[in-house]
Amino acid sequence: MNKSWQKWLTGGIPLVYLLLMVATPALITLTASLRYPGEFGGLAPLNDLTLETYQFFFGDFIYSEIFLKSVLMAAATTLICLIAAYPLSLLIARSKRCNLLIILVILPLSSNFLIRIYAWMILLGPQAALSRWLNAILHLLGAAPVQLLFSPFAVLIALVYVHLPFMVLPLYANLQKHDPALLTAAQDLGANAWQRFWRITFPLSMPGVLSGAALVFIPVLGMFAIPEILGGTGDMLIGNLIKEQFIVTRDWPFGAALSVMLTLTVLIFSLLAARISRTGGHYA
Amino acid sequence: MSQLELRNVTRRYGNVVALDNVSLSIEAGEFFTLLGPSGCGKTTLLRLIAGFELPDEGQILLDGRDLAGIPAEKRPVHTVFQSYALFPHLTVAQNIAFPLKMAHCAKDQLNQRLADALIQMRLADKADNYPHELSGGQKQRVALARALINRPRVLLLDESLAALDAKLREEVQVELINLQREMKITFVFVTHAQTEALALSHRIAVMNRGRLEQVDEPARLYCFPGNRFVADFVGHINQLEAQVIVATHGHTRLSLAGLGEIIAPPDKNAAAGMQGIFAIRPEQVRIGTELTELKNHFSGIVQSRLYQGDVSVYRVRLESGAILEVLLPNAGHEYHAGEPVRVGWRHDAGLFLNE
Repeated sequence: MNKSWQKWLTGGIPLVYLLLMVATPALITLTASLRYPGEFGGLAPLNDLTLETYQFFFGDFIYSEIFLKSVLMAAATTLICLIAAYPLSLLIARSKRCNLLIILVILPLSSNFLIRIYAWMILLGPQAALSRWLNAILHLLGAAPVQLLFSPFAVLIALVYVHLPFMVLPLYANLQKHDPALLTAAQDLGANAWQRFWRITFPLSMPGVLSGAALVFIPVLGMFAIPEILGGTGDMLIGNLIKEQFIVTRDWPFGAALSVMLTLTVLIFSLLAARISRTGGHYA
Repeated sequence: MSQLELRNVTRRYGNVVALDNVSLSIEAGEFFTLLGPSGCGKTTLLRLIAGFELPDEGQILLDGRDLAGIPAEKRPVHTVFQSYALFPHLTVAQNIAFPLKMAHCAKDQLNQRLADALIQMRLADKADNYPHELSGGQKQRVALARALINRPRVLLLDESLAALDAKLREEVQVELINLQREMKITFVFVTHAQTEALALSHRIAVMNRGRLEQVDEPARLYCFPGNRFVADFVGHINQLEAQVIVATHGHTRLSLAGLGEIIAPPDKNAAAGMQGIFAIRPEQVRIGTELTELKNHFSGIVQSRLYQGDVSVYRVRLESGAILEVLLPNAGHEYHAGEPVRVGWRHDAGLFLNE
């Protein structure tokens, strides 16, 4: 009797939290996507429901294209973060000064997000050294000069920069748990350095890779600040599209429908990741 | 020609000398054991042979070929680790086939050898299980199968039985002896457990402080330890202070401190006046009220008795104050603490050690 009371208390708090903070907003968004827009923005009085917004979404190819572009951008960011973070995490995990190095990785997170994005605006600006050197080289090669700022490249580089620590942390947490005896054993049994990495270290780090990928991929998919500041007019992502529906166009039902689609996309990828980690996750 | 040869091998860690000028020859097909207390350098020696570390001085030769410059992964030497170091993300079959995979073994040959190994090690029904689903004994067999599958020239075993409980350890010891005889692969076994060393090995090297104290067959090591360290480390032994009175080729006459003269086996290294110890195993000493048939006998008082089921260990205080351990089967007469007794031993039992 006492036991079940405790169970309800410990399990109940997260349950209430999830109902209040996740289920309710999701339900509100879902119903909002099925309503008509109000005359001056917002939502029309609730008389009847419609699938008009979804017809609109699937009716115009441009929205699917923005979705696809966003998914590709998020995938590219995740991949670059993984490639950049893996050697770094391995180095930190095997270093004697891992605590200091981890602090250095986290340190940039302590400064304001917008300030860091505006810093990239300066670094990538046409007067900055990077652009001038690059264009000088291109000039020597006889190629046309390029603009770094307000381009997909600028968006990508800032996305990678901002999300790198979220890839490093789970990877490091995983890699530092690895038993070094396994690598010694693999070497003893004839595995060279490359084989030791691909056969032992990498497969064992899959849980870290997947959680790092989730921590990068999902926020990037909904990101709107970075494309807004560093991207050009053509570099709109889903996040920008949704923001625009709510704030500029004031078409709340369509914004809500886009949000529902985004949530579904993230869910599909999460389920996929969970499947992979389940089939490969026989070991703790 | 010996299969594995160490020539004047020295290994230092900073100022600490882990291995001090060690020379050793191990024959092909031999079950050779490195025995010693922790920190004696036996594991360092194993790591040098495997190639995880390099000697500071000296040479290691395998089949007459110097191993210097050959990395661990290219040496035909495999190790069974104390922790087994099984790959947790691979199944039993994938673990065992790992060395063949690394060597790019042809698929059908790999499958054939894997099937043979699984049957030989009684693991066929566990082929698709993961290491965390196995018992200690099964993990041990997977580790052995994995290390043996591509028939290394030498198999190194690093305290490989330490993680098993006593009952299972005995079973595995028998299996290990049979396996070694069957496969005719040279085994180099590292342990600090002297009973394990005595039970398994053809020859044992007793190590202490980075040096070899004695290299000998188990029975010779036990009966004729070369010095006090070996006598003390391998089995139990009583040590009594002694001085040589006369040494002939027939016998040695010793004077035991505070006890008197005894007759001991001949010792060609002993000379009159030499100081040292007289060492005798507890099972060589007898207790009785009359021991007149024995040349060496003294009176004492039983101080304590340690009952061990099949045998009892008596601690007898002699007149000199020295304590003598006596091992007796529990079949005969029993003695009690405080009882005055005579203790004695044959004139050809025990030995004189001066170092």
